[in-house]
Amino acid sequence: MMMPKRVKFRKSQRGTMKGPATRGNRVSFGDFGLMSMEQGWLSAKEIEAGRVAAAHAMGTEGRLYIRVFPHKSVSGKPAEVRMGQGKGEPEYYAAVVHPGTVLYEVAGVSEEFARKVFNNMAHKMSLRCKMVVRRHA
Amino acid sequence: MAEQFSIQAEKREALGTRVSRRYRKAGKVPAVLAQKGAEPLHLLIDAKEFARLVKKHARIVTLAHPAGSDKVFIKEVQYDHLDEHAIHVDFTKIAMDELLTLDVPLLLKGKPVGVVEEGGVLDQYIKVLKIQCLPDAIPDHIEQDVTGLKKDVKFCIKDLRLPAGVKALHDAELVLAIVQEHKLEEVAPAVVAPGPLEPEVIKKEKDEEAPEGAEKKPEAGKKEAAPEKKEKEKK
Repeated sequence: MMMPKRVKFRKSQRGTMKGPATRGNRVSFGDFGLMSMEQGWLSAKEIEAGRVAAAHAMGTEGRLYIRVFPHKSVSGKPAEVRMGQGKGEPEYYAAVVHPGTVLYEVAGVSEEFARKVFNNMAHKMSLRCKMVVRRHA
Repeated sequence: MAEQFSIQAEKREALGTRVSRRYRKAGKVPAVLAQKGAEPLHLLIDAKEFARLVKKHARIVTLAHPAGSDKVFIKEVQYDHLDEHAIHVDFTKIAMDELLTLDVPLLLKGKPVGVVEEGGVLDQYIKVLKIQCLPDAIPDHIEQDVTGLKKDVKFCIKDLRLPAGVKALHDAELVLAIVQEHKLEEVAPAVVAPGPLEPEVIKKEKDEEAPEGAEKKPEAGKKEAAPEKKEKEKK
């Protein structure tokens, strides 16, 4: 699963997810993209699940680009532990996703095939997604 | 470009973000018409009508506006964050005998030999070509057949066959596409980690620069402040 190699601080604050995506919101590498329509945290597990789903659907055809990276550590407390005693330990890493963020891109395949691949991938996401086509001009 | 496109525009009286939002809600798209040697015109066009033009890949349009009718080039279209609706359009007035510089999509047609027979993957590095041509000769896209492309052979700008009157504004040696070997993912053997994997934490290396034996002196202000506090507490 994806996670940072080196971090300055192990635990991070929750932060905000306000507003639409102002960067990473266009199909830049491939021909088609899977765009998030909601805001939220996309865990490294989900990103990996999407990648595996794409690998199964695509086989040796085309190329897949992952446009998000889980930079944010999300901490949690174990079960049956009383509140207090400080912040919990990091449980997983997540990517902060805004409405309009392109999550994955696919190149070298037909639109029909890309739609099928993205449909499989969207089932693995916790956010509502849609397919977008690259705007050339 | 055989088909002729036209669109009706009205003058935009009020400018600004809030007003533009209101226009968009009413089904209008704010637009600007730039013209050489004259002040730009602020216009409003119908969103549905413009979406129809975009669907047909229109680049040169006859724009009918309150000050007259002009042949204009759709220079830039801004879309909303979900890439659904146009939120602003830039038009530029053009002369039909002047060369235009614009971007057109490059479409590669056919399955290369390197993919079918040699098991490679076609990587297209350049998807949009910058070209120069007269407004009459603007192509919708530039289609190129790459059926004969073998593995590890570069497909460059110099290999392109462009339509008459179209000139590519790129270096002749620029690589457009190449068939490369398909990188199969290495399946790593499952290793049971002793604990949860965590990234390395960047730590500041302290007292590296300070010489050995040198003690840190507390700041003068702090030293004085400390006894005062104690006195107050006693009182």
